[in-house]
Amino acid sequence: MQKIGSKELQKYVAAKKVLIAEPSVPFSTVIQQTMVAMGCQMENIFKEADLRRALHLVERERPEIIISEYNLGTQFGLELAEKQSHIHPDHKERIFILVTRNASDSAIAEAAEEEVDGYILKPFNLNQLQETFLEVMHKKMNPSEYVVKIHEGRDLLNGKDLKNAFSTFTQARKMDPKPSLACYYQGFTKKLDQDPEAALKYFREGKAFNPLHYKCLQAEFDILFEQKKEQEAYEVIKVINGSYPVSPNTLAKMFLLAIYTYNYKDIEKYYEIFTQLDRRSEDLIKIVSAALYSAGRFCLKENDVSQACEFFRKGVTVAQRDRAYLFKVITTLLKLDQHEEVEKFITLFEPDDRDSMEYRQIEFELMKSQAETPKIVEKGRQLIAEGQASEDVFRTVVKALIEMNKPLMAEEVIFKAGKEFPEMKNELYQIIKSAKSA
Amino acid sequence: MGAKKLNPLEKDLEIRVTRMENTTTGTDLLKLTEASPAHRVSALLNKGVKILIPHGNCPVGHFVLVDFQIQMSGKKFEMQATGKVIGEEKVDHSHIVELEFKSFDGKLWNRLFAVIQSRQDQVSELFYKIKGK
Repeated sequence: MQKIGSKELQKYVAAKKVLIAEPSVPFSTVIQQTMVAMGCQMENIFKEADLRRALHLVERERPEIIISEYNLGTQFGLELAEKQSHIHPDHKERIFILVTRNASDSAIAEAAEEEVDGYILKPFNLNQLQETFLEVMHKKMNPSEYVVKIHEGRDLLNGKDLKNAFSTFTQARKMDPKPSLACYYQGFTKKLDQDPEAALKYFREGKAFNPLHYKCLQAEFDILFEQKKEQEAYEVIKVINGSYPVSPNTLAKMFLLAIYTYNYKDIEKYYEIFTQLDRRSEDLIKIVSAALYSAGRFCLKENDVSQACEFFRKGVTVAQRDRAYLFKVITTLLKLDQHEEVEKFITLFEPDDRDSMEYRQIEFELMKSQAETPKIVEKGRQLIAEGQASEDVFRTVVKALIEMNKPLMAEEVIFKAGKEFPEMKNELYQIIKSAKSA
Repeated sequence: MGAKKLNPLEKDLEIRVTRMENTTTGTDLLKLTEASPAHRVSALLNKGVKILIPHGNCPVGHFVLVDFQIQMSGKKFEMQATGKVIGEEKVDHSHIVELEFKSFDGKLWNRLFAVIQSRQDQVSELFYKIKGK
């Protein structure tokens, strides 16, 4: 096999262990051939097709070089980067390259934010693969003075030596005409040192060299977000969103900020980004569904029921028809007597949830506006007997019984309500008293 | 300058082999592998491909006929190529062969190469911009 790369590279790579985490044999084989051509020893190359086995191998063999697919079955190769960075804390000792079919903007942004050194798209031409591998290795072997200094500072940061880390980043600043990254790390050190104002100053200095420096923008945004300067933070995020793809972490904050700053119209735009994400954490799902609910409520306040229901419907989808979420949405609509919309939302309950307390309470609420009083009482008493009544069910039944001139039965219901909702007791007796005095 | 997001039309790019026959021996090399991922091309070469052959023999010097299905820029294309095996390497229970095309649609192949290059360039630009300097 023809060797590629310089002798220096061949020597550099020869002693390294390599993990190729790739489910497709045709691709893992070509990657393996390329690594061998670059000087890797065949016995030092390990191939795994799934994440669990790959993680196990990282622990056992401690590979310095990992080449991984983004999608390993239903799991994600980036977890390997995290594991590798714990095993080899010195970034000079490790290389992580994604070779993936995933061409989504968010995946690229996420990888770039992590400890990933290169991103290659499949299908690739062989020259491209070799060139990118060589470029990544070359950068690791021969970093510029500026990069070395930054790394030196990062090592000090890892050792929690903030003072020397800061001074190292200050030295790095003098080594490059546009040292935005050094500024970023100065700011980052100040942030760790609990000095957010100084941190903000350095992030902004980094932006002065490069107004669209991603890390500086992100860091400035994070500080403003933490300082609850929502409007300013929102302006920064708009700049980021206009120039870069959004990672899942940032998207969560964008949703929150849109709510805090009453930019409800932007929620729609962010929802589109959300639907295109490859990875959606539980936390992100919670934030997005909550944001869609808030946006819906805002629209209701503006009397835009149709747009509100659109947000609610999306929220229900994001929350995967969660029973509690649907209940919250429907209760909100019921309060505004939007029965027609409630009828639509109630169909979204999963079949298994149709025996639930929430579902039956909603049915009762809908019935209230349509059925005659005796029927309402019958249904309400059934819910009370089965322990599925809400405060509102008790209230409605007591009022209905008084209306039907059945005070003794009403008292019986109040007695039961007192057991489940003691704080209601006085309120319900008051209903009887008012009826008597009337 | 911010980085350009990847052209949506270039996100979906796929190249598959739908038929592969060793014309020297008359053997159908994909017969038993319809559902196998082996019908994906491993890597593209300037005038050829590296491809995994799960079954059958395909030694250096043999000629192969390959039908490709290419999806790029939102469109589907088909291309038939004949090539000569110029390299072969055994991998586990199968082997990777290197084919040098003898007849193929050069225009389409060059276009495919250009799209692959362009999307990798866009991805690298975006990736390194986000990493920052």
